[in-house]
Formats: sequence, C-alpha cells, structure tokens
Amino acid sequence: MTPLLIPAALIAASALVAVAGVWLKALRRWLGPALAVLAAAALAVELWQGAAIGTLAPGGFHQDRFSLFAQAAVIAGWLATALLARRSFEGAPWLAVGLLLATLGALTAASAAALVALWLGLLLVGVGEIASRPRAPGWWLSGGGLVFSGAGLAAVGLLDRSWSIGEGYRALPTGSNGWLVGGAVALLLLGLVAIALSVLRSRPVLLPLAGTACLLVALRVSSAAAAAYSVWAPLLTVVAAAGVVGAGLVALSRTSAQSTGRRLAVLQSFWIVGGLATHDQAGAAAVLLTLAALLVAWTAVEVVVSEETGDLRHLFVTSPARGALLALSLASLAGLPPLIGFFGDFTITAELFRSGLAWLAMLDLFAWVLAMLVVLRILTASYLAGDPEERITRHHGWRLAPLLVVALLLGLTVFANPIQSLAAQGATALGLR
Amino acid sequence: MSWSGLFLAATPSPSPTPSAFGAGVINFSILLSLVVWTPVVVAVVMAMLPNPRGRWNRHFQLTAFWTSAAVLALAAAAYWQFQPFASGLSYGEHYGWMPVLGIGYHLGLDGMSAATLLLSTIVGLVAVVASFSVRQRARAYWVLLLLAEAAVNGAVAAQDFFLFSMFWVAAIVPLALLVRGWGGPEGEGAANRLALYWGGGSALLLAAGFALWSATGSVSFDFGQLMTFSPSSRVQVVVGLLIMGAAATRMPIFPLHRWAPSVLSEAPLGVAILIAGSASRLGGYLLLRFLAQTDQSAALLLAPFLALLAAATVVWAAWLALQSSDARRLGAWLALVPGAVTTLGIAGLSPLSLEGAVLSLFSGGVAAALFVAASGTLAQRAQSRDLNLVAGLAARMPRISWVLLMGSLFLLGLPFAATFPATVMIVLGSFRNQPWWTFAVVAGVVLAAFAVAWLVHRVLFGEPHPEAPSPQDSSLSESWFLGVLAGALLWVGLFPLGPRLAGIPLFDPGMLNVVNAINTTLAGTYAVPTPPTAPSPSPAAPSPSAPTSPAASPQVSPSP
Repeated sequence: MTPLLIPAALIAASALVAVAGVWLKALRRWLGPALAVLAAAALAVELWQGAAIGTLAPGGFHQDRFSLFAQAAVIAGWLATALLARRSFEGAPWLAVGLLLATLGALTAASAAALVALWLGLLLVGVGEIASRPRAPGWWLSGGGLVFSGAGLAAVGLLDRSWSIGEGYRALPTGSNGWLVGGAVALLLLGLVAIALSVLRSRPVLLPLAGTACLLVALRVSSAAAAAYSVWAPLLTVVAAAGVVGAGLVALSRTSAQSTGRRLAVLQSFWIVGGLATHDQAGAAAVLLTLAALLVAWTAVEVVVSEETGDLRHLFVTSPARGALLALSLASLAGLPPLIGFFGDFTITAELFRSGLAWLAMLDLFAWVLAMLVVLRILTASYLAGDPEERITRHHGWRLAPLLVVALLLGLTVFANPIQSLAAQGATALGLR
Repeated sequence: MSWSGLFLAATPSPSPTPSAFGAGVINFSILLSLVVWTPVVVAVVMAMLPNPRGRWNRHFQLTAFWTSAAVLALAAAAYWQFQPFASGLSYGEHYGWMPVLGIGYHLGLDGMSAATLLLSTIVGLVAVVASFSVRQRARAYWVLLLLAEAAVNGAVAAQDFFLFSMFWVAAIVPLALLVRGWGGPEGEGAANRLALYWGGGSALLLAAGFALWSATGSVSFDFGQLMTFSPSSRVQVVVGLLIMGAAATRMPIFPLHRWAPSVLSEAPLGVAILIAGSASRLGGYLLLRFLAQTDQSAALLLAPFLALLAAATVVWAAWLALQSSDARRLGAWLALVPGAVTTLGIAGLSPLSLEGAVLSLFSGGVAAALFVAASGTLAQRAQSRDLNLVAGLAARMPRISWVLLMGSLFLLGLPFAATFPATVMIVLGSFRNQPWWTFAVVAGVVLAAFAVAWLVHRVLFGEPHPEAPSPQDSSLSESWFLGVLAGALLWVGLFPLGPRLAGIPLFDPGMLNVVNAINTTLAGTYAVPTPPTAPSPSPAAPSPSAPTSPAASPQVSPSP
C-alpha cells in the first residue's frame, strides 16, 4: 500500500474501531482514547511524509502541498474531536462513526484531483450524517445538497471538457461560457450550503468537519475557475458580505455559548468565502490559514458545549481546562489577538485590500467588532456572572484532553510562521498566480 | 527674547552630551521582550495555578505587584540609558516571523516610545497598588490587569504594524472584562461602550494600516517600510482620516468621547488609572506615529480639523465638568483635558508643538491618572460620590485633600509640574499654524480651571453637609501610590533636562532630551525653513552660511 494512504487508512481503521464499539459495550469506555491515539498517529504520518508527492487512483487523488496542508488540518480537527468527545462516544458510539465518515469525506475533498472525487467527499459527509443517527435527519436537505453540488461539479466538468482538476488546475474557459461557469459555481454553492444546513439541523457536532469539506470543495473549484473570476467572484463577495454581517448580527442576538459559537464559526466561514474572491495565490494562502484555525476552534466549541449539561457559568471552576478551552476557542473564532484566528482574519483582510475589495474588508471589520462584543458577553456571563461567594462543590480538576486541545490551539499560534509558509506552498500548488 | 525663544534655548544643543551616569550598565538584547511578555507569562501561570477558596489571593496580589515593579525597573533602565542623539532605534529586536506576509517581530524604542513606555510602566505599577483592596475573584482581576498592562507596553514598543495592531486590540478584552466584572452599578453599560468604541477604533486602525500597506506595494508591515514610501495624497488623506477616527476613539476626542466619563467613573480605581493614564494615551501616540510622522500631506490637510476637535473636546469636557454633581464623573471629564491639549500639539505641526505633544503624552498621562486616582480615592474615603454631600473635607481628610489639590493644579499645567512646559510648548508652537483653535483650547483650559476651582472649593473648603457620611482619610500606606504619580510630575517638571552634577547627567537623561530625539524623524519634517541671511557688505568679513537643508532648524536639529 502506498504510504500516501496511511493517514486515510488510519482514519478508516478508526471507523472500524468505532463500529466495533457499537457492538462491544466494553470497548466504549476506551473508544475516545483509542480514536485519539489513531488520530495522532495519522497526523504524525501525514506531516512526516509531507514532502511526498504522488497521484493515486489514476489521477483521481493527488498528494501535493495543498492536500498535505488540508489533510493535516482536517486530521487535527478530528484529533481535537476525539480528545474532547469521550463522553459522547461512550453514550453514542454511532456519533464516532459519523464523525469519522465526515473526516474521510473532508480528506477526500482535500486530496481530490478529479471532480468526481470532490463529489465523493461530499457524499461521505452525507453518509456520515446518516450514520451518526441524528434525531432529526434532514434527508431532503442533504439529498438536495448532494444533487445540486453534483450538478454544479458536472457542469464545471462539461464546460471544461475534463473531469480533472489536477496537474496545474488549468483555468476554465471564459468569454461566452463565463456566465455558464458562474451558473455552475452558483449551483455548487447552493449544494454546499444545503449540505451544511442539513448537518446543522441534524448533527451540529459534525458541522466543523462537514463545513471544512464544503469549503475545501469551494476552494478547489474556485482555483480551477480562476480565469472566469469576473463572473463568480462578485457573487462570492456579495454572499460573503451578507454572510458576515448577518452572522454577526444574529450572533449578537443570541445568548447561549453554543449558538453564539456556531454563529461566530459561520461568520468566519463567510470571511473565508470572501477570501476566495481574491482568486489569487496570496488570498488562497490566507484562506487555508484561516481554515485551519477555524476547524480546531469550532470543533472545540461544538464538542465542549454539547457535552456540558451544567450551568456554563461555573465551567471555569468545575472544569477549568474545558473552561479555558471554551474561552480560547471563542476568542479565536472571534478573531481576537493573539490567537490564530486573528492571524487568519488579518491576512484575509489584508489580501482583500490588496485585491481592491476594500469595501468587503470594511464589512468584515464591522462584523469583527460585533464578534468581539459577542465574545465579551459570553465570557462575562460564563466567568463573572453570579455570586462570587457561591460555593461550587463539583470539581473535575484539570483534565488532560482539553489541555491537549488548548496546546493544539496555542501551538497553531506559536507556530504560525511554518503553518503560514505551508499554507503559501499549498496555495502555490493550486496553480494560482 | 520671545517665549518660544526661551523654550528653544532650553532645549539641548545638538552637540553630543556625556552619557548619563550608569549608562550601558544594564543592556541586553531582549530587554523589550521582557518588558512586554513578562506580565503575560506571569498572568498565564497565575491563571492555571489552583486557588482553593482563595487561599493564594494575597500571593497573587504580591506577584502582580512585583511583576509590575520589575517591568518598571526594566523600562526605567531603558529610559535612563537612552541615547537621545543616537540615530535609529534603541534596544531593537528584529526577527523574521512570517516573511511571506511581510510580518516581523520588531520591537524598538525611539524618543517618543521611550517616554511613553516609562509612562505606561509607572501607571501600570500604580494601577496594581491602587487595586490592593480588590477581594472578589482576585486572581481573575490580577490576571486581566497584567494582560492589559502587557498589551499597552507591547503597543508602545512595537515597530511592526501587525504587532502594534495585535497589542492595540489585545487591550480591549481584559479592560472591558475588568470594568464589567469589578465596576460600579453601571459597569456593564460602561464596559459595552468601551468595547464598542475601542473595537470600532481598532477596525479603523486596521483599515488604515491595510490601506497604507497595499499602497506601499504590499511588501512589509514594518514601520520602517511603511513610513519610507509616500503614497499618493489621496491615499494619505484616506489613511489620515481613518487614523484620526481610531485615535479619537482611544484618546478620546470629541465626538467619540462618550465612553470615557462612564468608564472612568464606573471602573475600579486601578483600572480607571490604567485607562486614563496609559491605555488612552495610545491615541495620541498613534496620531504622532502614523499621522504626523507618516502622512505628512494628510497631516497638513487635516490639522485644522484636528485642532477644532481638540478645542471642542476641552471646552465640552470643561463645560460638563462644571455641571457634574458626581465626584468621579467630574474627575473623568477633566481627565480628557490633557488628551485634548496633546491633540492640539499634534495639530500644531511645528517642531515645538510636536515636541510638546510628545512630552504631553507623558505628563498628560500622569496628570490624568493622578486626577482620576485622587477623585476616585476621595469618593471612596468620603463614602459618597455626590458633590452635594461631599464638602469641607480638607480638615478631616488632609492627605487626600493635598493630593486632590496637587492633581488639580498639575492637570491645569501649574509651573514646576511636567504639564507646564508641555502645555507652553504646545500653545506657543501651535499658535503660528492654528491660532484660533489654540485660543479656543486655552479658553477651554481656563474653563476647566473654573471647574477645578469649584470642585476644590466645594469639596475641600465648603461647609460640611450634616447628612454626609463620615469620611476617613487614607493612611500613608494606602495612598503612597498617589505620591508616586505626583512625584513623577514634579521630577520631570523640576528637572526637565535631568539632574546633573558638574555637567554630568545623573542617571536621568532628562525627559526633554529624550523627547527631543524625535526631531530627526518627526519634528524636523515640519520645521519652518529659515530665510537666507543677506551677504555682508565688507569683503573681509566672512558671511554666515545659511542652512542648506530647508527642513533643518538651526536650534533643534541634532548632530548625527
């Protein structure tokens, strides 16, 4: 087996372990740690073989610097999930199966060199949603999303007269077909949004990985269609502008940490969509950096908040590690310094100015101010509200798993330089100028 | 000799002076990094240590104190050994960080930042001492206070726009949480206003920086790079307006001042001191660094508007102070006056006014901190903020009364205080370019003097109100930190060129000398060229040579 497949194989093996956990109740207690170990091994192998470049499944999958970065980010997000969701896995092992399938879907999208492979990645996300046994499955929404995204990808392939997006990612033709390309991209966007909405309704904890898969697909296609940017880039800017402002205002109106964190993540996602509109190498590098920051922080917020049944006001006292993780993750999602989220937002906004999209950058900055206000409110409600003399007896102490995720989040900040360099190399591999 | 001539004569000659006694004793390559990051590291460690039932609160308090004291010692060492006539940055640390983006880890001090760093570390220590009475959630309080201190220090020392904006924004969250969590009854509203104004200002700052970066070729965010290239006038004006907006939210300057009265009156005393004394001074620092130093075209165009806003600020603040019946709120309004005077100095755009503005960054910050501290302490000790109740305290609270009196007079620019030379330099230097607005600012300061006189008369020397709570004067151990602020103002006011023994500067290079170091980078740009002298009629007598550079001022240009 080619070494390039080892990380994906480890993730697939994790899925088998999770399935085993469904049937073997004795295994469930160790499911979280086992999955975390496998995830760490996958991440280590992925980073270790970073220089390797290869093509698999006759041109269907491609390993280059872009796929290295994207896969590493996805595996890091899954690692954070595996570390934090131990309690959830014990009670609902099918959740682990669903998450792993979503991870595989994102990995597939990250290394796809053909349009079919991109759609395959989205399909795996949809299957993962079903496998996680959601309480309120949105078959029609996820099915419709797959149909639209498939139609969009197929249209892109037909216009390009090629199903490949590897080896240089040659630009799609422009001119008379420009509007058709724009329409195809719009169909694809519609499909991606539908998939994300479906996951949001049914299994929100899958949303970080599912959202990452969708953003990776959007990045790949926008890179391939860079020459036709005059058609689809304005659409993206409008969508991004409406998205960041809307998400920021909605987040301001929410009071719970979970819904607020989710809205902040959506805001960051639209910020990334705005970055796609720069249609150049530097913008793509900024997008990749922000995507990595978004995935880890979003995962942490979703999992921590979903597992906390008590009053979040006492989180810092009862579970100080989880409290610190939640605070740092929300701050990173809001783009507050000195965390990695600020780095990502800074770079995307700088690229927007350089690309002549200053108006979009100003709207992003406006939304950023809203996000700051939102996080301040959450932090105050979580740590400063209530009677300071109140005795809080339940105390879980400092747990290792949340601390490891805190270290991961802070590590992204401390090692921002090599990560940003890798993101720049990944953007170069996309063939953008 | 005119007043301006007197002050120009008082500024040091361009010839090299002996180094201060003790120069070079403390000098290592990571001094500024220690100043900036030590409070952060200590805060993170404190946040993670267990504190069962608050058992270690006293230790955290002492840790915060000694951390701030150590940072002050380092900043003081940097200041004492600062070489005013050396070109380039002192204590520079420049490492590549994200070269692909043009972001580097660059710290360094010039005259302006050396003075401002000393200010922020003094005010930081005083803020810690003023917070010794905090008992609730003490650990969280100290952690947030140290983080806020570090953010201000970092913004002053930063020489890269990414670093600068990172620290600029990083100050918002801890300060807003401090105001919200430990403030008065209206602390929540005050914190929201602080976050809204400062967040909006941060957005404007980032927009300005990005616009300047993209206009200068998107090469680097380093200050040296950003300030070397001159973008088009249109870009400069846009950047200038954005910078003015950002600075106005922080300084604050009318009409973006609405956060200040509520925050300074509702915040806990230490936090109010930190905000009034150093965090808000970053607005003036920003105007000097980015508007006056970088965007000369925009500065010249926008100067009248800036001067108008300065005049509006001081007049509005003084007027509302006269109408206020809340001791802390009155102190908050009057604390805006030094900032407005600094803004006038920047708008004056002459070497004298700009040097006065830089000096005013230090003196005005200390004066504002002292006045806010004095009025806050008085309200605490008198157990009431209502000026209708608080009266005749001089006999019963002599120590606090003295401090309030000194703070009031220093705020107005009393001779022998550091605010006096700064104010005079600003007024004289601005009068040439902005005569009417200078007059308006002076009128506003006179109005502020009325407010101060009214406050002092009623609170200290009026008839005691029978229903007022019984006041308690503070002991020396409880109010010595106020003396530190007053002492700093007096020291710089009495020894603006630093104490000397037989012509050798003693451990203090002199604030005026340090401030004068900006001449090569900032003030010299706006010097009025001296007209060439007429040739001598006698062929035997050599004619005096005129200065060749139109930007050189014969009195203030330093030797390289």
